[in-house]
Amino acid sequence: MMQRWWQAPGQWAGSMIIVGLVVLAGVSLLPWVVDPTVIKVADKLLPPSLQHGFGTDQLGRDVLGLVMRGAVASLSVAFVAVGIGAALGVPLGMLAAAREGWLNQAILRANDFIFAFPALVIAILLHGTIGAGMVNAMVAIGIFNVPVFTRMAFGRAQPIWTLDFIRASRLCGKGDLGIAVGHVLPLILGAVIVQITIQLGFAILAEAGLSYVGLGVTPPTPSWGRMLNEAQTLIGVAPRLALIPGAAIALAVLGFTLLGDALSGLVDPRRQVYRP
Amino acid sequence: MTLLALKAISLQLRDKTLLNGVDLSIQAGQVWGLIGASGSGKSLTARTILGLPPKGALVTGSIELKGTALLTLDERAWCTIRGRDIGVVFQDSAAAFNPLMTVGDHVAEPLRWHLGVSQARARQLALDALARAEFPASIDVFARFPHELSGGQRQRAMIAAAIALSPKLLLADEPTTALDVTTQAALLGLFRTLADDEGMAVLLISHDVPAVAMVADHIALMVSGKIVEHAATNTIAPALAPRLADLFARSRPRPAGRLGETGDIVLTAKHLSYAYRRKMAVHDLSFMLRRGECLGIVGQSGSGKSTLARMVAGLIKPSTGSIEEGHATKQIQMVFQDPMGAFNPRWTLGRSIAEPLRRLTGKAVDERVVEALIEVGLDPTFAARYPHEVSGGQAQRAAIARAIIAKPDVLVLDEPVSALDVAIRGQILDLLDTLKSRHGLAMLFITHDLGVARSIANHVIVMQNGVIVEEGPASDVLAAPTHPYTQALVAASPSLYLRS
Amino acid sequence: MSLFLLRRVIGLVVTLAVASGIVFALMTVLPGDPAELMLGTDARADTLQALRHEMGLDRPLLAQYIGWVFGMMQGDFGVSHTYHVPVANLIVERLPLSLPLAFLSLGMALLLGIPGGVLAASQEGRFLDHYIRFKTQVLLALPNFWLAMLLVFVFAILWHGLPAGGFPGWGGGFAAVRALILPTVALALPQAALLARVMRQAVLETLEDTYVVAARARGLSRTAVLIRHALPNAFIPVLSIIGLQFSFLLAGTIIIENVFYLPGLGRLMLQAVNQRDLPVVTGIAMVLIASVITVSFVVDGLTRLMDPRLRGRP
Repeated sequence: MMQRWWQAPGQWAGSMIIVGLVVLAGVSLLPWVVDPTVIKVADKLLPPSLQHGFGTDQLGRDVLGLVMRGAVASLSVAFVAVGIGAALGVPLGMLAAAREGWLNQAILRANDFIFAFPALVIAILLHGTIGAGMVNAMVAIGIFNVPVFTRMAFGRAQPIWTLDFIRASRLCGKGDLGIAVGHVLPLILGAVIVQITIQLGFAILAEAGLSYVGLGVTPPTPSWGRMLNEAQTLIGVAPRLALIPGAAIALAVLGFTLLGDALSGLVDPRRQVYRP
Repeated sequence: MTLLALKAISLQLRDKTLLNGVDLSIQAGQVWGLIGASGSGKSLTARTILGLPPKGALVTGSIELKGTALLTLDERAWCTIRGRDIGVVFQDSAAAFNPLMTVGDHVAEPLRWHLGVSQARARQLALDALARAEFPASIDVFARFPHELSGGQRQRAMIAAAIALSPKLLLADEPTTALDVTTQAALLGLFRTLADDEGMAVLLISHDVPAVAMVADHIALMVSGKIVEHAATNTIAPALAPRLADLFARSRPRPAGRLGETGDIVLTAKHLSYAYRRKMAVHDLSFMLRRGECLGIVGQSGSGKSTLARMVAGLIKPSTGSIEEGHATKQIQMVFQDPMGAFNPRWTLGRSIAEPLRRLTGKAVDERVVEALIEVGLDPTFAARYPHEVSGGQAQRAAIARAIIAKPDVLVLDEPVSALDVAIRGQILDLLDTLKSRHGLAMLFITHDLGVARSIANHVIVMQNGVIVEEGPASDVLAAPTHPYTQALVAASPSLYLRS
Repeated sequence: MSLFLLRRVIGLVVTLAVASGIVFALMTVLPGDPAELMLGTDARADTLQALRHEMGLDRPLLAQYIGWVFGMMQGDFGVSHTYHVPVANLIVERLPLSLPLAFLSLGMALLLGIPGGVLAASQEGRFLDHYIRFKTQVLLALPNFWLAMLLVFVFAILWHGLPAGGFPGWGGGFAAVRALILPTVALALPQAALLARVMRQAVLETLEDTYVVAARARGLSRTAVLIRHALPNAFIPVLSIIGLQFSFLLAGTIIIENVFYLPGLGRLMLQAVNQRDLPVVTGIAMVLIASVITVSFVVDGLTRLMDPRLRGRP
């Protein structure tokens, strides 16, 4: 297994991108690094130079610094949202798989129902209650992720519950919870990790979209989506302002999906995880 | 005249030699049985003859069908041979049909494809083929989808599709394995008829020695990718074909189960019924089970015997009726059909075997596991192995070790030898017999195989559609059945009548 | 079949009822008084009271909800606070832009994605397969609004071939079509990439099924088996993915309309969010949710039509 890890180029590239991203985000938070949110209109729209690797934006902020700090917003929203999704969805899916009858039906129906709401519509509906900001993005994307994990955990866990070693375990006096934790969860854990990786990529995309339309991260917190929004009108003047944050998003998403795909090959070569 | 000749066929797949010099020659009108344990290369041989080896396989040697060298053909030429000169029947009829296409269209497909006739004409010819395969004429095959037919009907339809163009060679890969004995007997007879009446050569691949011996003129034994022995069925003798003769001997019914000392009643079932989705799976069943006794439950699929097993084990609750345990009965354990599915693939066998020991910890557990492994005839090192690292027979021994480790009073066995190769069956049955007398275990033994039932059960209950149709001492019921259903079962069971 | 239809229709109605209940609940727990929002904080108390009464805000919540639902069933979505016209009129005005955009991009995604996936699967492991997989992987990682901006930059700013945004109305004829080209492409490409990947996987899985081997054993060529047996079976799971995708497509439309300044439902909705124009927000949300639920209803029915195994079941 270890050997295959190094043989898979997707995994390599994916891991490197993600590690690089986390490091850059970490560095941008160090106290001695220049705060990119400081506005200095005199320095506006400077081309890339030694001092400003990616130049400055229309308000004189350092674009490199903004992109690095933007990774913080992206990653934290993505991790919290996917965390919400997995923490609620996996137990729900496992519960639905363990039980036949109304509980199973109720969970699956509710699941399909929530799935009908795109994260953007959830964010718009929550916007009034929570207000724009990181929390809104986290909750909206998190809610949207719950049915993804429920569905996946249910699909993986249900066939396991019909296997004979579950029956054997029951005859040893184990209850549903003991079996779920002792047998089922370890068997689906690999698939859960793969799904988490892939969902992180999609969560970054969703966060960018929400911030772009003003429902996610709000100024002055730097965010890739917001940077794109502000760069849109300047695309004729300074295309790099739109190119750089967009490329950052694409690279981050690519990192997670590459890693997820490669991991899914390790976990289960035949069956791919469900991808919305 | 030789119809099919395989010379030194070898097949390599990713550095592994899966077929290692297969030689075989079949005449028109002959039925050949190709037997061997799972993984010996039987099915691979069939797929190689068909020109559909697994992706990336390297095939060498030569195959001639009526003088035509097959291995040098290009794909276009292959397409004119498959289905026209070679017909194929697959094992799992549920998977071998396209679920979106009617059964009739499957039969008509090779006719349209090879003859280029109109749909109406193809359908007409398909009906003829179905009739030759003795498919019930009352079923409107062009309106029925595969999932709407029974396994036996689907298998007949698949035979019809295979013989629609009257191929010279019919390959049948475990064609009756998933079917009930009565259906199996009828289908095997059909292969014989096709060979006798239409002069087809039939290559019948199976792991079921008695079934093959019923219809095949010749039997070839395959071991690790090589045909090691072959002989005419009626000449098989230790001097001529020692390994085949040995297999035959093992497949013959073992001596009937002896009734040792029976003791107290450990379990009484009273008027058990179980309804599932408004259908009665088990209806008003009563019996008693004593210490040291093996009660055989015999029936075909759908007779309710597995439901009964699960009720007795306490995995499902009876809809009505009760199971009363004797005053000293502490524990009921179970052994399942598929030994691989009976173990968590991520757990070592030792960990699984120790699962019933919930009150013990540490060294005491290890000692008990070793004790149980030795008792079922496995080396103590098996405790550290994973299920995929052992053979089916070894896994089933480990499953028995798990079932007996906590010293249960009742052992429920649900088809414990059906998934195993013939050679291993006898060993497992012997082991169970020994355990029964050594520990005074009471056993409930579920099986569809009357030969197996006769060799281990002291008492049998014959079930049909959830009710008991006949019961009594095993030797009486199976030797002189009185109910017509039991009579039909006995008549169709090759394992009871293997020619000596 | 009729029993199935009845059950599904009841399910549809229940789902819509629950959805409307959630939307209503979210909107009523909102801080702030809609009447005050309309009139401003310096409004006189009795004017406020009169407006509240006029808007039905002094009635019990259940009565408000029922009134709202029955209103919507008759096409009354309330009156926009900012435009002072019925929300229904606003929606009807914008639909002729948003609907064609959604369906055009869905069509384009299908036209590119399905053949792309089949092609990749039929060439598994070869150059074309790797190429399509790499392409789709990258396309999937691109935010569609960024893709839209790149398209604008290349085709509108550098090349001046296509408009950067705006919509002249369908009366504009060819100009209207030209205005929708870039938005459609931006929406469709990531969708197509996803469909291609799902389709590839589904085809590869069906190609491993026994009935495919059985069909080849009957003499059918590789291509014939692919077309007659593998594709119909592979399409069934893809169909349900398409159904699920529709809700993402609508969300995508909302964002893309903003990139291109298209006067569609999405743009209207986001403007309404910023102006706290509740009737417009809830109205459009209900339209979007209802259309997603209806699409999944239709996809369910289509799956049943295609798969005989499902037909018999209630």
